[in-house]
Amino acid sequence: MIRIDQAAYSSPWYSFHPAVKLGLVAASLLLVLALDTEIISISVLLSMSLLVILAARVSWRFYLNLMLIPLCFLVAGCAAVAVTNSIQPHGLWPAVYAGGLWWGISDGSWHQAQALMLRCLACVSAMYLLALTTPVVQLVYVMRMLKIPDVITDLTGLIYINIFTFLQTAQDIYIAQQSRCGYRGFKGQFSSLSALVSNLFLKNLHRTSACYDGLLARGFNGSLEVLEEPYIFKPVHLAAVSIFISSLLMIYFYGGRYAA
Amino acid sequence: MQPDLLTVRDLYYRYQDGTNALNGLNISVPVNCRAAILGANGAGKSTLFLHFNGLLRPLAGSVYYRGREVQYNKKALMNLRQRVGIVFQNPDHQLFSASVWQDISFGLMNQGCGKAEARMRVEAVGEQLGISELFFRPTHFLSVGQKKMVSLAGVLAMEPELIICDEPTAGLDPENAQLFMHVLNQLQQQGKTIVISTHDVNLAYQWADLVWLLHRGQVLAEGSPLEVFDQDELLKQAHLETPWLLEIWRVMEAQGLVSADMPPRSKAQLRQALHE
Ligand SMILES: Nc1ncnc2c1ncn2[C@@H]1O[C@H](COP(=O)(O)OP(=O)(O)O)[C@@H](O)[C@H]1O
Ligand SMILES: [Mg+2]
Repeated sequence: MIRIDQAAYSSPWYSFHPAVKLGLVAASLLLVLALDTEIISISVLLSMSLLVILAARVSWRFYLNLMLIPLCFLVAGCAAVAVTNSIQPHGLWPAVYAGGLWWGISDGSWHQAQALMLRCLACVSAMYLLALTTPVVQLVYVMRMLKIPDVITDLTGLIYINIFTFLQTAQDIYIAQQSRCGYRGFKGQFSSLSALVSNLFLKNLHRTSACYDGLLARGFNGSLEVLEEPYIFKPVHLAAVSIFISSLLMIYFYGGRYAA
Repeated sequence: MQPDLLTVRDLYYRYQDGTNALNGLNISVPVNCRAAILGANGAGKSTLFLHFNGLLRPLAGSVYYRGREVQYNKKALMNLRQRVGIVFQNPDHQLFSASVWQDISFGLMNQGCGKAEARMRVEAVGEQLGISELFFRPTHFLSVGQKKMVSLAGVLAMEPELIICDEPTAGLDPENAQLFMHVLNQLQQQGKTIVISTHDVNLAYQWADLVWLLHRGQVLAEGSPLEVFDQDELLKQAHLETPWLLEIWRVMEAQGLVSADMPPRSKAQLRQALHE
């Protein structure tokens, strides 16, 4: 998570207008989900991956590692979809007889699993493009643009920054415990972990009140008003996104025919 | 005569758990001075600072800003907090935004500053403190020294008259500590009043114009560094030591190596005295 965040901050796309980036990803997601054809899924998966690696300059190794995380879950989930049953063994492979039914993979179920897999991968790659080029601060900015209530946008920002100190605190406590022989034995595992969790809570409570003082000292009056960073809005970007989305639609209407 | 910038009179404060953090404290900070509140851990420095801009309300006693007693209604507090800026000890408690740019602008927007004006002031402060290249870096990946500078920038952008720094050098390496104190000196030369808290006797001795020695929520001694650090008994009572410059000077004086003039306030002055 920290590496994704760092990638977003050092991305060449960092200063692009966040609404355009979000628009690109949201439109792609929408098309993949609404049109639900393999060719669209494949197009989005390929183009997003190319954008991540070539345009946003994320190393392909790192990107591959990132893609592997959801892949594990997807394989398990799609395997469940691929396996089907029937009252006769015809068209099933490998037809296994169990519990009064024949089990195996059929042509239909195989295609279904394949389509599902591609659809999910396409969505994941689009989300990664967003995560790897757009820090949370920028997403909050778009949320504000969309007139989402202050409470939600403020909380999103605060939770995000707190994740980092939270992780750091947890790590500090963990190391301090280990250096005094915590986590020894079965019982020690539990008692040390529970001490960690409860202390994490207490420390964070203390921290929160200190942070609140910090906000008040600078005149906090209920909503976190800040000056937005100056983002570069280039019509070219908007045009590029429109062209991309239109090409996807073209592929759907013309290319889809041959694929079917 | 112009009244002192900030005065606290007979200040008492007790935390909810019954700790008496301040016990009848009197301090008066003149305009445009460099003041150090000196005390060991738990002496009450941070608690005192939270009274300076009305974050805590005294149990008894009162706080005066430019001779006027501080009122605790919303409007008066907003006004006070614009004039009295606090840089907290732990920058992680102060930086709430992941964006340096946004964090610096926060106080300005609360003041109701317009966007164009706010942008100008953020840029000016960045320039002044030499942190312009950090604007679009995330606050959570900055070094402690950088975080500290950004915290100061967020306070400075509001253009306060009085800048309070709680343990400004805590957690900084010598170079960053020196840089930070240098920046504070510059601000003082530009007319700001600076108050720091510290347990570092050498820092207080070398940097401050005025020192208050704090112990258990009370002032044990006050005055110029030379006056305060001359009182060995009180220093010992406050669990603090004599600054090394003064210590060396006394030894040399006792051996007749130097003529008893003014003790040096810095390494450079000591070196010069040795040459003579
Ligand atoms: N939130 C709190 N609740 C209870 N006691 C506190 C709290 N903060 C500080 N204290 C106590 O008040 C005294 C003064 O603390 P503080 O002002 O933080 O000292 P300093 O900043 O000089 O180290 C200490 O005894 C400390 O334990
Ligand atoms: Mg303190």
